[in-house]
Amino acid sequence: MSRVEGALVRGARVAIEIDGAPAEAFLGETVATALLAAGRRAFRRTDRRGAPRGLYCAIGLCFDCLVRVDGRRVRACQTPVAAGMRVTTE
Amino acid sequence: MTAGRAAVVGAGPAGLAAAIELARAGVATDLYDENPAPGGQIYRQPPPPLRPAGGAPTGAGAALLAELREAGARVRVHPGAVVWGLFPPRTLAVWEGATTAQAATDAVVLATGAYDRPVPLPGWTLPGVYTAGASQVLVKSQGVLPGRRVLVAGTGPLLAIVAAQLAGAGAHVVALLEAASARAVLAAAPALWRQWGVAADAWRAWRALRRARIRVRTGHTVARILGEAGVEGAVTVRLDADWRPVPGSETTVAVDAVCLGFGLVPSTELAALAGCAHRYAPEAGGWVPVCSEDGETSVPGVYVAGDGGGIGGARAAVVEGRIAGLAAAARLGALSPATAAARLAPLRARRRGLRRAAAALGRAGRVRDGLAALVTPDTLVCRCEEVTAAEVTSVLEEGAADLAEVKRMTRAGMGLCQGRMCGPGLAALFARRTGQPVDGLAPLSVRPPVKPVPLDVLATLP
Repeated sequence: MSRVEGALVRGARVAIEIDGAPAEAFLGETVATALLAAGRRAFRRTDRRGAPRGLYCAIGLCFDCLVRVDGRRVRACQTPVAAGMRVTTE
Repeated sequence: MTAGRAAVVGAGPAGLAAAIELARAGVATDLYDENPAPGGQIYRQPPPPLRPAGGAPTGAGAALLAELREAGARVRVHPGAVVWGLFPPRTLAVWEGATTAQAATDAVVLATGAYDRPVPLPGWTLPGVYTAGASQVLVKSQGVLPGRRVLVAGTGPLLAIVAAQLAGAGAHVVALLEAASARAVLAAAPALWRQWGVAADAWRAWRALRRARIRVRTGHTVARILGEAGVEGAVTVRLDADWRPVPGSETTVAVDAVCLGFGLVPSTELAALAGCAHRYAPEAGGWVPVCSEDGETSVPGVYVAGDGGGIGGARAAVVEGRIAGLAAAARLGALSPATAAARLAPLRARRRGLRRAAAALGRAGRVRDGLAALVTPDTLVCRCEEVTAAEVTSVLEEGAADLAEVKRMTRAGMGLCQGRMCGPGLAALFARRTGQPVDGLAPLSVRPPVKPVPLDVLATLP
C-alpha cells in the first residue's frame, strides 16, 4: 500500500533488503510499514495450515506479523527499520 | 520528603496523569512504556524521527506531555521498556534493550490500557484484515494506508474516527457498518447527558464522517472476508436486534482491506499476575480488577487506572490516573492525608460521572450473542495455534469442563499472543455451547513473561 504524502515528515531514506531485493524505507518507520509500502501484505505462512498472515493488530500483541530481520525472528510492527537491514518473509 | 519509589506501567493518558501527580508530590517515579515515545494508543506520537507535518500537536495529549516535561527529573521515562512480570509484593520485571532486571517498588500504578476486542469471523486471519487500532497506527503514526478500498465494520464511536482518518488519508472507505441498530445507538445518547466532553467527541466523529461522505449502515456487519493470498472482498449482512444475521440479506463488496473494531478489551495481564482479584463486568469490556474508588486493587499498593481497569475512555483515564497518582503518593507519605483528601474529592466526583457514562456506552456497544452465529466450523478461533471452532466444539462434547481444559486439549490460547486474541472468543464459544454464563468461567490463566522475552535477554536476569 502506498505511503500517504504530506501527513508526516519522514526521517532519512535508507536502503533495506526484502527477500533479497532492494527496497527503500524511511527512519521512524517499522518493518511492517516498509513491507506494506513495498506492496507486501502476506509476511509469512503458518506452520500448521500454511495459511498466509500479515499485519493485524500493529501494537505488538497478536504476533501475526513475524518476519526475520538479519536472521532473528521479530514482530514487524514493533521493529524500526535501519539502513542495510535484511528482512526475510517466511 | 519520601523514601518510597513508585512505578507506572503504560504512558497513555492514565499513566501520564499518574506519573505527573506522583512526581508533583515529590515521589521518584519510573514510567515504563513499550512504545518508542509516550502517548499510548490515543495520544500516540510517531516514532522519531517521524513527526506530524504542520507543527507540534495540540489538544489533551499534548497538554499531558507538556505537564510530564514540567514534572521534570522526578519522572524517569523508559521508552521501549517491556514490563513482563509483576511479582509479590510489587516487584516489576522489566526488559530494556538487551537486558532484563527486577525493580522493587513501594507503589505501582498499572495503566496498561486496552486493545481491540477480537471477534472471530470467517476469513479474519487473511492479510488485509486489520483491527481498528491497527488502522489508526498505520494512518496516524506511520503514514501508510492499510488499503485503497476499505470496509470498516464493528461497533462503537471509534469506528467513525477510524473511517474518517482513512478517508482523510486518501483511502476509499466503501462503507462503515455499525452492528447496533440505529435505535440502539440513539438509546445510548442520554448517557452522555452532562458528560459534555464525551458528547462533543462523539459529535466530532459523526461530523467527520459526514464531511468525508462515508456511507454508514447501522444494523449491518461483515459476515465473512473473502480472498486467497489476502483480502479481495467481503460479504456483508444485516443483523437483527440480537445481532443474529438475517438470512437472504448478504451482499458482496470488492475491497482490499477490512478494519474491524468491536469495542475494547482491558489489558489485565499484570494485575492478574500480581494476584489482584477480578470480576466480570461486560459493560467495562470483560474481566477487570476489583478496585477501590481510588483505583487500589486487592493487593495493597497496586493501583489500576484507565482502560486497563475497565473501558472508560481517555477522559476517565486522565482523571483515574491523577487519582491513583495522588492516592499512591499519600500511601507513601509524600502527601498529608488532608491534602490528598482535598485533591481527591473533586476528582472522585468527576470519575463517578465519567464511569456512569462509560458503562451506559459499554452496555449499548456490548457485542450481542447473535453475532456468534457467523462463526462456521472451520473458522479459526485461535489465530496462533490455528484452532478451529469445530475443534473446540469437539473437546466440549468430550467433556472439557473449563477454559483451562479446552486450552490443554486443543492448544487454543497456548500461542505467542498468550490468549489475548482468542480469550474473549473462546469464552463466548464455551458459554454458548455449554449454556454456562461467561461470568461464571475462570478466564485463561496468565503466566510470566506476559510478553515473550528472548531467551538471551532472560539469561541476563540478575
